[in-house]
Amino acid sequence: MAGWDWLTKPQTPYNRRFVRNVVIKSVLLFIALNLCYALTNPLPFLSRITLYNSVLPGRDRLPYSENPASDYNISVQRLEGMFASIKLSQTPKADDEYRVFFLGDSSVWGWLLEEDETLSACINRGNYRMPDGRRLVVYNLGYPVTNVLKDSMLLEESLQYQPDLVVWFLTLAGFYIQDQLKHQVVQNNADLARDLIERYSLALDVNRLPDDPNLWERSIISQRRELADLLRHQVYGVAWLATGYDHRNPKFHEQRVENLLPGDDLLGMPRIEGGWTEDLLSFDVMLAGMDIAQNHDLPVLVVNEPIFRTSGFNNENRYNDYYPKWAYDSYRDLLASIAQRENWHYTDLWDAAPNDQFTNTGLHLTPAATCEFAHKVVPYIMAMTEQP
Amino acid sequence: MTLTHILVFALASLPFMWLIPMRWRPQSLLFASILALAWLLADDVLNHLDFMILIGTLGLSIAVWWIVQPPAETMPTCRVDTQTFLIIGIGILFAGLILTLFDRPSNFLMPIFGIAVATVGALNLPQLLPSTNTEIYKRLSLLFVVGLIVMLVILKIPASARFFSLALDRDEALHPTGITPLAWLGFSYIAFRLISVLFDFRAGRLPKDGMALRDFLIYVLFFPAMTAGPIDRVQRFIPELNQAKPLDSARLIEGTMRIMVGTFKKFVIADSLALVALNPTLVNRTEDTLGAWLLLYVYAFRIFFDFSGYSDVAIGIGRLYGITLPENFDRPYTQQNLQQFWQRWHITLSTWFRLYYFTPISRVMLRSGVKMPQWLMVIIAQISTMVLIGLWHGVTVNFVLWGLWHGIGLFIHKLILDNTRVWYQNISQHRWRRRFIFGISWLTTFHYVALGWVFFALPTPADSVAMLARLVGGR
Repeated sequence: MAGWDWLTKPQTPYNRRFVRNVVIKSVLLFIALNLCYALTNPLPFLSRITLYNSVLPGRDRLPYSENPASDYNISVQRLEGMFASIKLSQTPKADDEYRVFFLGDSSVWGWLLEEDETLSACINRGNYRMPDGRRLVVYNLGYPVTNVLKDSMLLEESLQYQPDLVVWFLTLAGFYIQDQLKHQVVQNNADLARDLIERYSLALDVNRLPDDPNLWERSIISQRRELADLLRHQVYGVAWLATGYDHRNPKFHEQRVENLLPGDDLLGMPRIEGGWTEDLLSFDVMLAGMDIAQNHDLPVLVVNEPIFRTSGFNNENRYNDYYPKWAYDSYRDLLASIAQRENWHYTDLWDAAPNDQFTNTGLHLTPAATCEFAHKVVPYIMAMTEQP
Repeated sequence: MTLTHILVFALASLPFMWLIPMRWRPQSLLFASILALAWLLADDVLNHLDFMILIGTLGLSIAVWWIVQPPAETMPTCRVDTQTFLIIGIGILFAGLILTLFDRPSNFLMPIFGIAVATVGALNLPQLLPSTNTEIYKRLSLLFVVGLIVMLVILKIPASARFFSLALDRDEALHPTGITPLAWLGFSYIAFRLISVLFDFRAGRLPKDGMALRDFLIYVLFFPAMTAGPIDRVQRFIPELNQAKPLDSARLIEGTMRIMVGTFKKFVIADSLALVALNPTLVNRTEDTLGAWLLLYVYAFRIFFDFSGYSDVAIGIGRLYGITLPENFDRPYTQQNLQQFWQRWHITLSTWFRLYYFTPISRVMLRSGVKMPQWLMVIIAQISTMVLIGLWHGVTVNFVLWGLWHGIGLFIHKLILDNTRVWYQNISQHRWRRRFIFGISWLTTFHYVALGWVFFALPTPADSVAMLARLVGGR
């Protein structure tokens, strides 16, 4: 058949020598390719090669998914790849643009929200202008993990995109020391995390980060999953472009817990008499992040984000299933005092959202409440250009 | 077939071809085919009637072979070899072992059944040889054709497949996720191979001196072609089997290369495209026309790479075992009309329908004496053929619509061809005009085929209409 003539009608006939040569050359080529790949470690570079912002438009928020098949999205683990696929990376900053990055967890990323229902999308729809006349343009750099180390790493990576302001949304869960190194984003960017930890002598055990990958771990064979994910990330872009879906928003989902279990423990940890102290939470990580921003003359607005405050069973001891009152109140006090000491721009909006507007957890809001909250943040952003 | 199956089948060819003497190869190939069928069944997690399907496949094949054999006195005695039945019996025993190893529902009757088949076959089969009255067998063959078509329809309708699944295995409690519809691995292909043999038997097209049971079973069960074809013809396959070549350098290179190309097409390209190819959820979520066209193009390429990739793998593995299977896809999307497309898409299936349905039905209409304009005969023959090809993929309204779409397309093509032949010959002297017409023809053919996939990919007419509406800018 004509289509296979190249194979079945070779110019020189196949013989044993030819087979032997093919086998030897294939094996050598395979080894050489893996070796070259391992020695050059091109994954960070390859992560930047993407169809987004060229063939496909850039995404609005960082790629994350727990169910790629229905989200048309995938969790890209390298920061370079995450940034390469969002609009920000290829959008030149306009002269009249006041560029703001929103950092934070799933409530900023927009869990159970469409792309156009997030905090940043709501503000952008408002067509706000700063007091100096510049257009307020917000980029969503939230990522669905409560973790200030991840936020600091994202902040550092985002500096190349010329922000005028970072708004850093925080909640207590982001400061748990034992969780800082656990998450995949941190684990898969261990080089960046290790650098940050060592540079700022953070109270985190770098030994819990994976070692620098050895030659074998850097080979194509070992990194085939990461490479396949990069490919899948591009392919899902087609379905995302066609549908606009990047996060499955089920009609029915688990509701926030109203009636809480007895007790006032925090994830099994008993009450700490006297509440938190600075060394019991990862404030050093946040201070590192703030220092990075300060070194680049980048102002940061720190916001303590809203939480659900139950009126159900055990409300005398707890705000919600995440937070006992003793833990959350002492965290707020500590954050406020550190902000004052460090002269941060800080605002505590912990009760800025109505209780009945929380969806599946004590942190996620309905689309309407998200927008309402977004507009509450705007005056604080406006005020940033007026403050020294 | 998964990557593991492909790898094992390909690697097993090396000891098979290098260690087993030539005279033992057919027997070994039959044994390997039974084991491969058991393994493929064992890996099909939704299936819970593995052993029944294995026995059913073997039983049906033996029955058809028995029907189509020439009268006893003309058939050399060596055709009924006890050796083949021993291989089947031992094969069933090992198949039972494989199913047990894979924790599939096992049955203590399995080994007994295997030994019984071997014993009965070895001792009694010569007495069951066909008598000289071939008319009985011709009627029986027709009965089998009808039976196989009924089975195919039952298996292709989910409700009936579930009904029979339940009837055959009442112990639903053993299946925590519920009994799934009866899925007979590769039955579409097995049934079409058997039906073609029965038709050829009725038309007197089979070898006059019959076929060895062993060779016939290898033809039906040949494992590379079990799950995704191609649908070979017995007259071509058995001589190929008997003249099986040794695994020389050329076959090794060609077979391995075809497997690699096929694997890349199926598991890299098709499976990646499948993530975003047209499906009901995507249709409902699609927002704009451009997006809808994108999904359609993705589906068109996904289905090509999926089907042709599997065919390449089957042909490649076949070649490693010394057997050249027929080609099934030959650049179908580069063709300039629908007729050419169908000569290059799923070639063995469309050839099967041309041989066993289109040509006979056209002949019947011509000879029937019923006064009918020729265009009507063409349209009836073409549309019914394409509808049947649609139904072969599944008994649903959408497959009928897909068949209709292609049947109408082929008829329109014939009309255009009949009316433009002279004009077309004239422009063939003008190079650029000819190229322009070729380009337009290719573009039109590709898009006609692509639009047809809307019916093929989606489960209901409502979904298809919604998709077609989106393609033309509707919501």
